[in-house]
Amino acid sequence: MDILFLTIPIALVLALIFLGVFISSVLKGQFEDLDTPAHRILLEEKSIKGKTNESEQP
Amino acid sequence: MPKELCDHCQEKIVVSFEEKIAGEVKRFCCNGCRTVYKILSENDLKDYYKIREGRSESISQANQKEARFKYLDDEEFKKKFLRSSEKVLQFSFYIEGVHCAACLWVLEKLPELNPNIISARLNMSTSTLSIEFNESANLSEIAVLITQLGYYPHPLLAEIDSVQLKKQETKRDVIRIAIAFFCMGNIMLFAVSNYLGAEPNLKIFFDIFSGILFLPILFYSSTPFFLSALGSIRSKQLSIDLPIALALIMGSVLSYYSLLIGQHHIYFDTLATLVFLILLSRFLLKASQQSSLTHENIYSFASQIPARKLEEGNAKETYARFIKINDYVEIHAGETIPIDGVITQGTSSTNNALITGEINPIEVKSGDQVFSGCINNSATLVVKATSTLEKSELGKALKQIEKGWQGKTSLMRLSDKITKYFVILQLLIAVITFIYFFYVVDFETAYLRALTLIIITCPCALGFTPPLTLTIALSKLAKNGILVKDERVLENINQCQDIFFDKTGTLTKGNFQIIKWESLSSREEEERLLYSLEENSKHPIAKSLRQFVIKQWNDQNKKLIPIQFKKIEEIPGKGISAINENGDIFEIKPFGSQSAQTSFSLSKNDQVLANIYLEDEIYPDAKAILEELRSRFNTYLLSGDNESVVKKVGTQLNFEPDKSFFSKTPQQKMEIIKSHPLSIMVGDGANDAVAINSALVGVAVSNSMDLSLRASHVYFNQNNSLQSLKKLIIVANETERIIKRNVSFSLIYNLAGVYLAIIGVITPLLAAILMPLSSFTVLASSLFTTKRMRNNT
Repeated sequence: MDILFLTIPIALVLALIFLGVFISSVLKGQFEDLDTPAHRILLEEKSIKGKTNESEQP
Repeated sequence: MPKELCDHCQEKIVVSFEEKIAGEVKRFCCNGCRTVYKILSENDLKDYYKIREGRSESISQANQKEARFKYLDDEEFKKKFLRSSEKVLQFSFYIEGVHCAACLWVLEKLPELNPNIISARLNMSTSTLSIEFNESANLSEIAVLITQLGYYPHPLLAEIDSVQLKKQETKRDVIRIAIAFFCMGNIMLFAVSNYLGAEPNLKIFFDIFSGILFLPILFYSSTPFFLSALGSIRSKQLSIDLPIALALIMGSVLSYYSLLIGQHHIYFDTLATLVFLILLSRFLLKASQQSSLTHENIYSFASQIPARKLEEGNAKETYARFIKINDYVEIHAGETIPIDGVITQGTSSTNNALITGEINPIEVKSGDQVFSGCINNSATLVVKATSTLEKSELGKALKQIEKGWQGKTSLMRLSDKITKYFVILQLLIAVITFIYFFYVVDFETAYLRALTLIIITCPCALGFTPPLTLTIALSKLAKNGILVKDERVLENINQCQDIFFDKTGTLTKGNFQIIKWESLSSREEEERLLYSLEENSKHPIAKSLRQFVIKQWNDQNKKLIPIQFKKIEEIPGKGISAINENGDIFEIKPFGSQSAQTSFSLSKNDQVLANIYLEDEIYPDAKAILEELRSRFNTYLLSGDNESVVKKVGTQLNFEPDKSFFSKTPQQKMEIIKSHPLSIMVGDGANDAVAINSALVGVAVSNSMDLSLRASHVYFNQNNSLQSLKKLIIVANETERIIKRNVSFSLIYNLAGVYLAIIGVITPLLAAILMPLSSFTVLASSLFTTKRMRNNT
């Protein structure tokens, strides 16, 4: 079981990386609004200017 | 040249959307309008546009709202509420009317509509729009632009710092919990391996790792407990955090000492679980409280009193709280006086009902003192401010109400007290246990039992059950259209014995039908006069009459131009009187008729022009709900209407004759309420305001007038007010039951814990799991409420 002395620290380091990623995403505010992005992704990026007549026809 | 108004909604076009429909080029203000127009025209439903022409009222209302944003450009306002960094300014609006992805789409397109706007982001769950713009943009222009898109922006006037702070606090809380969870999870892995019998050298290795992983929990995640415990020692006030901090210190000292000398008393797993679970339950509590903050926001809108400030002869729209001493304010007839001050121009009369309780209007002239919160009845006044809103009577009253929001109900105070004594008791028992076992057995047993005792008896659940239950009840009510301005209502209502109902709008729909119109002169002239007199009144009868007249005129394709009066005055409960340019006096006065109908006369210079009779409709389920309420309450009918009308409604709804009051003035209504201290008053009109305010629980029903809305403790947003009242009473009832249930549960739980810990049945680890479990039980019990509450909300 001596391999545990090596694998456990490695597992811990890996887990620490994920913890770091989580903390940085919290700091960037990714969890502040959980509703809107789900809608936002469905919307067109197109500008509304210069787009008037029949622009919706396929 | 493009037409200026959208073909669908008649709003001004900001960006034109064009479409050829049936050979004609139509222009629209937005994609939504274009789609609606297309659907209507394709399906031959274009009559919609003809039908709605008659609805002139709603369009003028939208325009009235427009000018209210000028104060946003004030330098002082900017300094206080705008966040700025390197030429980019930031501001947030609460947007009324956000409901779908289309709203998101159009609001986030703001930068394309105004090049000075850099970005716009909408948060749909909170309906807040944060915008960034450069210095050349005017905030008021942006607000007007949003209005034109069909939304109404409420500037979020929270101080920038406090919003930022709150956000950062939440982030810190999440990180604290994340780190605690990470460390706890790993410590648990090691602990389980140890319990299952790891090899001795592995066991030491695991213990050392646990010790290292516990350091972040002790020095980072647990800091809130230590800080609050320190604070409570300094202020000599006991708090729940004191025993937690004590348990943490005792536990870690023991564990690290055992680790050093190679003993087996290592409790890193226990302490880590304890910290994580307490942090988590507190975070959930906070989250559930914050999600119900919305009705608090609504309240703060209601408390904003509009004002018109005069600057170099120009009137500027602003709010009362931005008026400084020696500013001049213009107040039109029918408006609320925003600040305390002295009249410098104009004569008028004021209605001081809300402030002084005096019903009859008071004549005021130049040099007289007026008070904020009073209504200017008849003519435009210019007032020089003598104090700021904060120092005025109304300001103090508003502050009192705002304080009520953070204030505690007596149930909450009681549980605070119990918690405090509980902490004392807990520490005392712990010390006694320690001393007893130290002398009887040994130091080790004494230390362990005291530690277990402290952990298991933490009165967390006791501390947070009342605020949590109340918050949940409030947000349930808000979802049902019942806005509670003061939490104490939920408690007070359970003590109430009497319910007083105003008739109109509460038991009856307030939708008056004209039954008879005794015309004594020209009918057309009468109708026009009636409309003009009632034009600005918010009384339900006035609304019904306006609708009636407009419909008549539209049916005959005539255009109604209201008559302009020099002075117009509405006295709650007494009618309306007006004077025109020629000095003719016109009056609308109720008169006591023998029939069971509401009746009034229209007169010119004391000569009656017409007698009009109206009847109101009773809510269909009123009778059934009243019967239900009668099993617990005495129900009274309290109306300003004449005897026969009140008697008719009274008999229909089974009110006992001695419990129906009729022909009562607002003053008399208030006196009747005051003689029944444990009463609920439900009303809507301005003539109920004082009575609503003096009742233990004052309820304003939907479509209430501004005055009674401000005076009330509860506001029903939904049309069927009796149904809402029933819900309110049930929720209040159940809330008290849940609080009692939870408090007694956690007390029993803790007492059992004390016993088990002293006799040494449970280990510290078990205690650490059981203790937060009790918090979660209480949390769940509050969230699931009771069957009766679930069925009724």
